[in-house]
Amino acid sequence: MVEEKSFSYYLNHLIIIFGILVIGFPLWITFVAASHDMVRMAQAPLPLWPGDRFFENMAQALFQGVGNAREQPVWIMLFNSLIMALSIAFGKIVISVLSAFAIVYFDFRFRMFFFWMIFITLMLPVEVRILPTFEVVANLGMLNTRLGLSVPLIASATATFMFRQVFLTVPDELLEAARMDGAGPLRFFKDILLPLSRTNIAALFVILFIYGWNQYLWPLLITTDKDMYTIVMGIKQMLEAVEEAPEWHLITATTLLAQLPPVLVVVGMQHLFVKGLTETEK
Amino acid sequence: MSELLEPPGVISALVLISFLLVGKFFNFISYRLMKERIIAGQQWDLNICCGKTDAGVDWNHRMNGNHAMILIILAASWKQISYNFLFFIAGMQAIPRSLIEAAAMDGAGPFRRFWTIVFPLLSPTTFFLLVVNMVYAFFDTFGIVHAVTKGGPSQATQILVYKVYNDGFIGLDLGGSAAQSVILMAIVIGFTVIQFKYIERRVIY
Repeated sequence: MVEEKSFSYYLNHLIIIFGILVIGFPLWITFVAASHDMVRMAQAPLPLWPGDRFFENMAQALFQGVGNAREQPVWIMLFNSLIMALSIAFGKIVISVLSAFAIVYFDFRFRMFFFWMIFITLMLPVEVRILPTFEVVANLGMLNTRLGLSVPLIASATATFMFRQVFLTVPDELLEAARMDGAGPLRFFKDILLPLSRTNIAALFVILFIYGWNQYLWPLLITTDKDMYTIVMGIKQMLEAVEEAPEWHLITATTLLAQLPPVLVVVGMQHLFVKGLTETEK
Repeated sequence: MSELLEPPGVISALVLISFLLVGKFFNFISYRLMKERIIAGQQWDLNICCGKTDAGVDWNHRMNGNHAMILIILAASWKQISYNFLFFIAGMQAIPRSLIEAAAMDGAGPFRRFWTIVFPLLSPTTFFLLVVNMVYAFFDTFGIVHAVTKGGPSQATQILVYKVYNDGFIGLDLGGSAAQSVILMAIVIGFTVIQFKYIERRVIY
């Protein structure tokens, strides 16, 4: 701006650096802990500089497993989490796009009724309906299945509303033009609406993938079988090793592994993601 | 604001890194790690959180409910920093640069520009984040509580969602748990109403 590089300029950077330290320090500790061996992690004081066993720890966690879940290599949990997060993200997007399409562009009987039914589910997150949802899933025989992990979380009023907002900003002229050219509703949906909401879908995908990946309470309730553990709750189980001290070097290595897929998704879709959050006009 | 965005490399890297942290594991793992250390009575290098601190506080969150609560709050807020940061960045980028330039021409310093232009224009974002963070504090802190304190010591950190889970699935008091769910639902409805009543409405500049 108009000022010279002055006191405030350096103050800004000081604040940014401080912020990075606050955010980064626990991360750094995690990384450092993942690179030492068991003996070093049991000693005081806690190491602040990395050791030399980072890759051994990673490999051991990935292929041999940790703690109580020893017989369960981490890659199985990662796989379960991946399946769960992907099916939640895709399921939510497909259902929301279609229902928003129906609500915005079709005039059918009970339209407003269905709209309000969707609205009401906004007030019923999993935490509120723990018991009934558990009951339903148990009666359907979906405990300890990947289906049971994802299906109860797929319905999403938020995403439906978001797509409704997006569709409402699409100019009517486009619909009219498509009609003139003889396009049916599905063709209009596929060739006009979907390309127009591409960035929104991408942004939503990132958010929903991370939402699904981070699910904690639900997997905790319905999975007792080690083959179905997701990574987030699997880490919790590793901490529960009663008869021995937690193997911090392996647990922290697992957390680093657990963070990798969300990182890849965000990095891969960052461009679209930021666009989808900020741009508004079509 | 614009000064804040000058080094684009650093900032975009920061946005990226911060969003990566959305995971729950990191904080509860590292906090739990620190916590274990404290319990073992081991002195920790940076002297941040252990034993008797310089101020003479006898830190023990396994016995002291307030300390346990502080630990949970620290861990939970740490996790939300990146999320809030991202939305503030997006909000600030939406503020027309010409407004800030005009104020600078009129001789307003950086602090004055922030308080009289950027901050008021950000108020929708701030309010949105306020509601989102409250919802987060109600519902998503379950993981941290469950992993770090298990609601203890003597129920000092027993948040409502944890209690619903604990009574229903550990204590097997299904009726009591369901009744608490209804209270929880009332709270959710309250938040939803606030969200729709105030957030959807744009603040008029």
